[in-house]
Amino acid sequence: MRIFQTHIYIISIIFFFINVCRSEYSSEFHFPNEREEIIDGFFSKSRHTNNWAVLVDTSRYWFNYRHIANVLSIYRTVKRLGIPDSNIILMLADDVACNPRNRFQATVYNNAERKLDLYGDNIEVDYRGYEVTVENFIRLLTGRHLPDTPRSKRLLSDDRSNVLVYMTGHGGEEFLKFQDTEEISSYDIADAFEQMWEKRRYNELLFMIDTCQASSMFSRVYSPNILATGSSQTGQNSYSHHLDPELGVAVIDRYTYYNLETLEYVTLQSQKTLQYLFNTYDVSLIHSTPGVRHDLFERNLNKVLITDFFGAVNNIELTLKGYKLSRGSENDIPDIKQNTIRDKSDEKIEKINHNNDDHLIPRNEYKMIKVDFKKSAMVSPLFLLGSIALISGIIFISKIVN
Amino acid sequence: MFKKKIISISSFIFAYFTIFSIINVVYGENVYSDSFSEELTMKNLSETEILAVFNFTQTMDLKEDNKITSYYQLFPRAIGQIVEKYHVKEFHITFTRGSWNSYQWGLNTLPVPVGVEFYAYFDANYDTNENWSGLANAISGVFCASVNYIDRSKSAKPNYSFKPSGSYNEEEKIEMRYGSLSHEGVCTENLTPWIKLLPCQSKMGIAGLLNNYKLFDTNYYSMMAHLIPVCIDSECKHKQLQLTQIISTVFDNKRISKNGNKSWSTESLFGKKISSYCPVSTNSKIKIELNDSDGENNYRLIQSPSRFESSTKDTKYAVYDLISKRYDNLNIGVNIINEKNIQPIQKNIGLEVYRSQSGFAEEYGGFVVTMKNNNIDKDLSITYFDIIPWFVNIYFNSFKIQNTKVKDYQNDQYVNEFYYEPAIEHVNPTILEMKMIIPRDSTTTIEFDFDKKHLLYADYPPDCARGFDVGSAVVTVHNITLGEGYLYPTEDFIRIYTEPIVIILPAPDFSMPYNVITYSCTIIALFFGSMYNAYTRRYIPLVVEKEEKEKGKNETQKIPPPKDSISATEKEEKDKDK
Repeated sequence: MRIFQTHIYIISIIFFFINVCRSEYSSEFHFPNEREEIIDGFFSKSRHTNNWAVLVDTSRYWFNYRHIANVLSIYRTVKRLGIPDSNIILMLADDVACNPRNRFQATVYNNAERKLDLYGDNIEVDYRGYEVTVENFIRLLTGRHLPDTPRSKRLLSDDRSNVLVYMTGHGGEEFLKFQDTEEISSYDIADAFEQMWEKRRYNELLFMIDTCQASSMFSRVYSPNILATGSSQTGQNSYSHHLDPELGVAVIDRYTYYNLETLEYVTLQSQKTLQYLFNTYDVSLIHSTPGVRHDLFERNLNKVLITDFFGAVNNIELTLKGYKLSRGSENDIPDIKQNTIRDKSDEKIEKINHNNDDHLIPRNEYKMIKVDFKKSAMVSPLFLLGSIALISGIIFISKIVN
Repeated sequence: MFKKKIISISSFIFAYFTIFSIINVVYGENVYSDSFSEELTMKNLSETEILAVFNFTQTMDLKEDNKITSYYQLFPRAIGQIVEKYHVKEFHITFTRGSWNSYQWGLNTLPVPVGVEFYAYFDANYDTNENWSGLANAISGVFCASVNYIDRSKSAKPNYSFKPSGSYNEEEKIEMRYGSLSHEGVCTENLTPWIKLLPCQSKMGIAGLLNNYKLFDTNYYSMMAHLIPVCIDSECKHKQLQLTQIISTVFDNKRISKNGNKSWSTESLFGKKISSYCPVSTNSKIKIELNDSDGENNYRLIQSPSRFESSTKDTKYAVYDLISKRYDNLNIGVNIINEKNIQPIQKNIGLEVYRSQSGFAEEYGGFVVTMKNNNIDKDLSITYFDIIPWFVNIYFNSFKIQNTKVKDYQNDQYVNEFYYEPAIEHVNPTILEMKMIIPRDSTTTIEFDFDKKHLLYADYPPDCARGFDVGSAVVTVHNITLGEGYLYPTEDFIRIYTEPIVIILPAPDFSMPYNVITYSCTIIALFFGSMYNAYTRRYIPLVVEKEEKEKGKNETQKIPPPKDSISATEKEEKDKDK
């Protein structure tokens, strides 16, 4: 008798599982890879909830004007794309804006045309002058500060933060000079990143470096979810872009300049990916071969938006107040699919994507496949009812048998 | 029964809380209030240079026990929280770019040294050293400056030079710390957080004129924040916190004006027009100080002012009240008609102070301080205060204090107090404080010599070839009141700062360690190689050789013996032969 009872139980459990796996409703969630396209790469989206940026200029002295302009260009970009000053740690080793040699006081330009002042009237430099040291930089990354360090000098990121680390300065094979006196090695950076990973201080990290032999700086990195890119290969120099005759110094480096060519057209809603950014790198213009290291990075670069690192996450706050959506006014409801802001540059992307057929990774087609919500919605209550009936039936039968 | 009890208790609690909260709301607003006032004063400092002083004052009522409330209305929370955490009673911080040209501009009524000056008073019931370093770090975060570099080795506790500007009970015990950084630059990144402390920021009111491009393109720029406690009642039981933010700039009209015109206005100086007043301000004024004697023939005001106020004997203020809204989107300034007759408005107390460096080369040096009293009818009582960093070794026996008029100057009659604290390496600087009297129409000089120290490798800054900074010395002139225009008009002293000095210290060749490593490695390699060679060599006796020769006749040699050993043995043989 008992054997019969247990048999019934086992069979019912097996039935239950078969039912669960078969139903349309559940399969969407249990086998995401098959149907990923249906939900438009939901699982390939970054899972971050906040963005941080660490922007470091390591070189001092007036003639290194261009390095400060590099950093401030990126600073302007991330600020424009919505990362607030409280989430940006800016390290500048010297003060060129108010340097007595600067003909245009309180300004830093990255172009000889001098149309855009990068310094602006709203800037917060967190570490400046002598404070820019290897010790402070590693303390910042790893969060091992002295107790009195103010909040503005700390990287308060968590395991849901996407962190952009941008560095520029003078470097060589496997090292980057800080202020002409000390240097950070590629091993130091790799270990600092590992400590960040162990302490859950990032979700994903983009390491970008504009210096000579840049690729050697990220060659030792071994922590997961790190994407790295640099201006040149090991053994190559990186070069400055152009000179402002009135300032008397070069105002920007080539690699950063051509990055900005793309970044300047990125808006917060832009769907441009990092793969697109990397595809724009032209060796004949940059004069060195930029390096990209993505072996530690899980996601497909074709699905990583530029704004995942250079822009801020828009927080959506739910309010108690609702909006009535009546059937009659269906046409008034904005169609999100049509109205997504597609700037002109997005069209450019597609053009470029079409022209470049020699992609490493298949390009993303921005298509929304409609999910049949009706079907799935119908299935789920039926499935629930069925399973309840099944279980109650089994219990009823087992009682009768007893 | 039980339920009833619960209901009655809960209703009682509810009633209690509602009554309490109503009382709180009604009285809370009356008891604690913040206020804000803004003012801009402009005047001709010399023929072509214009002084503009912005003054923003915020107050916040304190609780009965003189602690900070949690009701922040206008007062910046960033400051309030720091004050609470580090038990700060009052603090003063100034950022200055360019030095005050006292030859042409007269006395600086808002005296500051070049770079950053920072001093604070703390509640003496707590550990002041700890609070001082904590406050320096916190302030460095608020103002984006490297104030955190003012540590114990750069700070001092002056005895006679500084008095607290705030008002205190007899019960309150306070302790002071002073420090300065003459090398610290001032730029937009310091102005940005400074403006953010204002209730309207730079969006409305007088602060709207703060244009960083214009402000940093001036001959002199000084920005400060002073926090002091002020008594409300006569017994000083109730207090307010008063935060005064000041920007004092000297514009060079020669450079700014396009056609060499000496007229000036808010638009020509700041590039902006006035955009109304800050709505939360109780007082919003622009004042132009004018020479009374000049008359209307020499200048004409662009807008007619609300009223005139007399300031001193010869000068008057044209006051523009912005709260009347009459001057919105208008340009306020002075059209100068008779360019040759501009009378600069300056103040002077007839004291000149210089500090210079003597000696040459990188081994020894000295300081010479000259204080010249130009007054014919007045002796001046002053205090000289100097913080000299520990990297110069001062010889106390080399001190010379002389006066051109008095021969026996170095006695108690003239040098009233002499405080000297020798430096301890890496721990504290040399502190020098002298209270003295400078007789009328005479010059006092202080001279002393020092040695320049050799520092440790890590003590050198990245740009040590530039030299090491010694901050400004402070000369406090006692028993003088300037009145209006001074930061706190009731104070009876004036400060004069000397210019900072850069000392060139002997800097090592920083590639030296690498040279040492390569040299020593070469020597070790040579030494080790020869020694190893000598120790491991086998000297083969003659007997063996004979055997080998015999063997050689019989067999083909498989392994040739080492050449050196052969030659050595051969030599021995030859020696023996001889």
